[in-house]
Amino acid sequence: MRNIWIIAKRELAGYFATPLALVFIVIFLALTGAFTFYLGRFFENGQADLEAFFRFHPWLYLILIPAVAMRLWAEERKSGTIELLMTLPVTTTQAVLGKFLAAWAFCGIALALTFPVWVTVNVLGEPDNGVIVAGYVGSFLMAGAFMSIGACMSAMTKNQVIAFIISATVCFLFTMSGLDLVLNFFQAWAPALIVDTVASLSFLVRFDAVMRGVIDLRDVLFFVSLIAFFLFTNVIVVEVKKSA
Amino acid sequence: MNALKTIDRNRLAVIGVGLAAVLFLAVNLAVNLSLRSAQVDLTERGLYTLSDGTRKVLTSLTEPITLRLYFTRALGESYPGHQAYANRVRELLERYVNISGGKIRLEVKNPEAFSEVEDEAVTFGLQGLPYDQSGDRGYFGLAGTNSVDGKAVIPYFTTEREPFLEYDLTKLVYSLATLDRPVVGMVARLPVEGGFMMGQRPVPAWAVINQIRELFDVRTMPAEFNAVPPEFGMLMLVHPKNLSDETLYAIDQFVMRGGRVLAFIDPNAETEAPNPQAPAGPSDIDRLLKSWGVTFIKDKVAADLQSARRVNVRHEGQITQVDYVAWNSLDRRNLDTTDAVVADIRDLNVGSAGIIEPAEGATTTFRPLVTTSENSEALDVAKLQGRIDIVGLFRDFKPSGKKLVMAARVTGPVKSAFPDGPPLIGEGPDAEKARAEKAKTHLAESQKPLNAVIVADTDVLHEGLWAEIRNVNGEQLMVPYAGNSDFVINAVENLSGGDVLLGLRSRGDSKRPFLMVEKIQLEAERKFRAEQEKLAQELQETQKRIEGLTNREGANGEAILTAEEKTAIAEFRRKMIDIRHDLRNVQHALRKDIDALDAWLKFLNIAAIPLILGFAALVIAVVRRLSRAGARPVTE
Repeated sequence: MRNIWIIAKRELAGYFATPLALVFIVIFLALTGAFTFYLGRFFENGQADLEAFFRFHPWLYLILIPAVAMRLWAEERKSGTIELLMTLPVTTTQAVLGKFLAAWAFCGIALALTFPVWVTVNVLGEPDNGVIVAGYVGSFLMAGAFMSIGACMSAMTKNQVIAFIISATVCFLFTMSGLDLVLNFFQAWAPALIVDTVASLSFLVRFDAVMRGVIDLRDVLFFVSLIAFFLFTNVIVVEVKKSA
Repeated sequence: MNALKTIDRNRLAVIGVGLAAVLFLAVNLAVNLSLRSAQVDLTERGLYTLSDGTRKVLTSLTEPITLRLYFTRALGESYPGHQAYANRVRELLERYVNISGGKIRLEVKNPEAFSEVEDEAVTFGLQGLPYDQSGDRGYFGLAGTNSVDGKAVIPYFTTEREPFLEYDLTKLVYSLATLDRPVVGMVARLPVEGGFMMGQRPVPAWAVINQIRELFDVRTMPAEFNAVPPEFGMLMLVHPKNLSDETLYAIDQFVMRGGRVLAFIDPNAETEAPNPQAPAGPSDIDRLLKSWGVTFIKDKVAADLQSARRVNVRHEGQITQVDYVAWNSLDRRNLDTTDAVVADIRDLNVGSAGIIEPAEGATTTFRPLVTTSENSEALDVAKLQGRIDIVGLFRDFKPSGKKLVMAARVTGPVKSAFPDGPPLIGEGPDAEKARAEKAKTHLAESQKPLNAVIVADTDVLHEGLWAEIRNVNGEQLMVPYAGNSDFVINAVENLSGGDVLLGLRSRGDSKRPFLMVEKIQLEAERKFRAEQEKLAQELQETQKRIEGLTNREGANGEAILTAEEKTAIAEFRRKMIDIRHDLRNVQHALRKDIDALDAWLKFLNIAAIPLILGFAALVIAVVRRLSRAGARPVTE
């Protein structure tokens, strides 16, 4: 546990050692703000809720989180520092968890910095703050899911661009899995149970449910189990590559 | 050998990942099937938590009820949104089954095209929706039956009504469960129950009346009646006027016997159709109201600036938005939330409501249920008849600083409005005899304390004020945006002696407006409206003067103008342009503060934090560099 914490802290500090983290946060904040106010027409709608704000989160994460995640392992492998990391007295699992937690916390910081929109909506009217809290919890969980996919994909390749493309694609499939595009592929051969299960993997459907203001244990477990699965895969990939 | 080892490891890894994937899917599948009600509802009003009303209805069931949920699987495959909604409906119904202690039986059916189940669904009156190219229909509805062949159906669950799901389901269960529905007598002088207007198309019943019918046994009283049947629990009076003494006496005695009354009276019923036989005018049951301890101010309407509804009006040739002070969208600040009838109502829309007050020397308790804010004014009814100057009403609004009562509950002992006994109906000995006969049962005082709800507005009932009608798959769907029907149903339910439905809320998407923006808008309008009015008038006068001068034409059609007149016209034209310019400025000023707020918010939410972060990063970088530079000489 201590090792995980040390790695997470070191990684997180590492983000802020370069202007890269700042650039990412600025892009994230500017885009969420612009999407909320221009595409979501937050002010024109005149409704004291943050639907216009949260609605764009899955799509922003789809691009931005793979961009953060792509360097998690790919860079270590390219620069050879992975060997150094593995000589330290930490297990692969600890390293994977530490790196993931740091990256997830980084997303959390970016998300927390959107607080002006929460202040705004409370100044303008009387929003249902319970729904907003649920939206933030849901968004953070979803960011974790995106990040775990990104981390796993980053471990598979040395090339950061390839890592970005693969993780964006996998994230896209998960985001869209409730839609025809994905379901049609399964409908042709799989029984209804499988089709239903695939449909239930959709980030959009899960996030929509949380955004209503209800935190369902099933949705939480879905995101947590998805994170666990990809982190486990991440450990295996690092182990295999290490021995290769 | 090494390669073999690597292959084995790789294979092992693939197997491990595969197993993890299977485990992930299995866990989610199991959790989806088993963990159904483990959720935390963070919404302010517990929108997704079953209401007390639903629990009461379900736990008080005595007879078994069978609910059949029809959902075509293929429909869910074509529309994943439908699948998610169907899951929600099924889960909610399963909770109903649990709470009812087995009184409710749930059957989930999949009506595929050309199957027996489809025939069954169609027989119940469910509506199908074509979901693919072949034109096969998918079903997503509910049919409920009780032990005496009673039937209730939701033909199609549309996502538009999702916020009202619990309300719709509970009402369906309630309507199947209550075999002996309370009887409500309806005395209406407005076409609330629809019918045929002379030479016109049939008029449908008002939506709220249909909703009451679903839950109560509504019986329409004839235009005149001499007694209220004993099985009637309550009377609902809608815009009562021109009632004969005989009818008034029947109502009076009904109340003396302990009958409940829900009265909708109005100084200005906006829904009243022009009718030469019964000219429009205020409701009139003063005699009864007086005996109940209520004074109804017939020539005034309650106007409220705080809750005024914004409407589009043509003013000075332009469409402008203005707050119509006589149409009010009331919220919880206007309601006595300690009374069960309005406790769960979030908003209530009224149209030119009247004012009621406790009468002097009343023996009853007058409890206001719905009031205006202190930013109110009692307007003359005459101002709302004929062409209404909505802008003028807003401009000339003078707040009284008093809360005006629009609805109240009146309780307590009362004396008959007919202290001398029954009135004489007709002439001659027969009439006298009939009167003497009636006098035997005459009640001069109430046997049970009066319990009446008096609402000084009839427009509150009409769906035009509280619901949006949407056409979904060819079906007219009612989506409420204010709690008017809840208010009326709560009142009927409460007065007819029940309280099972009271905690049941239709819980629509309540509007949460930007109060701050509204305030700015209101202030700006009050500031500029008078100026705008003055300029518009000046403009009109100037235009008239120009017209007056140019209209004097000579024989050949040309204007005969002296040099001075020409100069005057040029002067007026210039002035006209100036006034137009000023007018535009005023209109622009109306939006200025709001546009400025919009711009500020955009800046704060898009750029402010990034700028602060950038600045902070810069400062940190400079400080680091400086401290490094400062540290160098020491190390050297």
